[in-house]
Amino acid sequence: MAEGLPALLPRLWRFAYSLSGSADIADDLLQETCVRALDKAAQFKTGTRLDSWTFTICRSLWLNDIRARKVRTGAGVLPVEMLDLPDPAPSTEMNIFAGQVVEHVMALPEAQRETVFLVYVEGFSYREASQILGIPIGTVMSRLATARQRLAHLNDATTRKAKQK
Amino acid sequence: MKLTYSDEDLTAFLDGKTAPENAAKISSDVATDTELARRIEGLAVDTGALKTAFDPVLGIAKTRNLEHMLECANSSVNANSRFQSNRLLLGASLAAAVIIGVGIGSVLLSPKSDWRMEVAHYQALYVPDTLAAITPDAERLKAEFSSAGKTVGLPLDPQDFSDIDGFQLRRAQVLGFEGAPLIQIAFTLNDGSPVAFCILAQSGKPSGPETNFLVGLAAASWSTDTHRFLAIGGDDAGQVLAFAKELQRRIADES
Repeated sequence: MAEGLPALLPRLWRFAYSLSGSADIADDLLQETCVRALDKAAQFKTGTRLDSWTFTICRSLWLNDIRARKVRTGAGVLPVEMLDLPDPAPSTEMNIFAGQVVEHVMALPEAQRETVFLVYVEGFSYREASQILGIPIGTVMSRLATARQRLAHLNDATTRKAKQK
Repeated sequence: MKLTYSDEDLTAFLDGKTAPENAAKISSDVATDTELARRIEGLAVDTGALKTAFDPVLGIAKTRNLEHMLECANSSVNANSRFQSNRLLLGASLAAAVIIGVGIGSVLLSPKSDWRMEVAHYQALYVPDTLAAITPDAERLKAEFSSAGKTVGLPLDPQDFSDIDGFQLRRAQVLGFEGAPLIQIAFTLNDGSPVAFCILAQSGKPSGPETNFLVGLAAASWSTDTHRFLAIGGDDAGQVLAFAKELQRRIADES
């Protein structure tokens, strides 16, 4: 388990960021996730997916510990933070568009955001996402449907982008 | 026969999760049902663009010193494990001492570890009430700083630590870490949250300050040829880093 963890760190951090909306809190969440994962390493079943297991730990810590602590200290759940995105592609339009997409996903209600992130960004199946989130598959599909309705307007931007090429 | 589809059905269709025969049926119905086509359009999202848009966040992740966070996590787990081992050994030693009448000190473990994690675990026990009753007293602070300064071999004056904006100086106390002199200078934030500035008299590789979260606390650490420093407390990494830089400047001015 410990051997597979280093390669997972960027994805775990990104998931932590998607949950918290804050790079600093993502640092905290990642580190606590690592502590918990290493501490519970004996419970990890060989042959199962390490990413699903660590993502589940990460989300559990976020819900039960770090987010709760933020609420207790008055910080609450942070508003969407604009990331200083590095240029992902040669075109500036692409960079701006990527930033807008991230911003819109991060603005989704938390339940939809985490589901969209797991299925569409991380590529987990409905079943895997339902296990990470601890919800029925039908709820995963319902959240995705609602999120799709909220994000459908991004298609206009996609179309505009395609026409600019 | 025309079927009624839920938004979840259509989402699964768009995600390619529908059984082939059902997908063919939906495709066929869309061609003849404008309302269904409109609903499909209302759910259509370029999921490939979602995935691509988050790729740069992975790049940002790689700039966040993740390996160091993992190292700190390892240290934390090892320290906790050692603590548990020590407790077990202590219990076993006490039992053995009762039976054979010998001392127990020699069986306690004393491995090298990351001093910052030890401090972090100690600091995590602090709550606002820990320091609330300690009111700053010039004479007391002078005596405490004199003792602390001698312990770590640095000239420390409470005056240099009493006017840091947002940090109320509370006390200085002498501690120790695996035989090395260690001091803790305690502050409280405006909301009463405890923050500590710790100095370990142990040579280090000049570096920092660099920030981390240790045991859930914001922390900033740095080293000189002769000492190691750690500012820790609260959950605002930016605030602790600014605090650390101010402390670093003041310590450098004093030395």
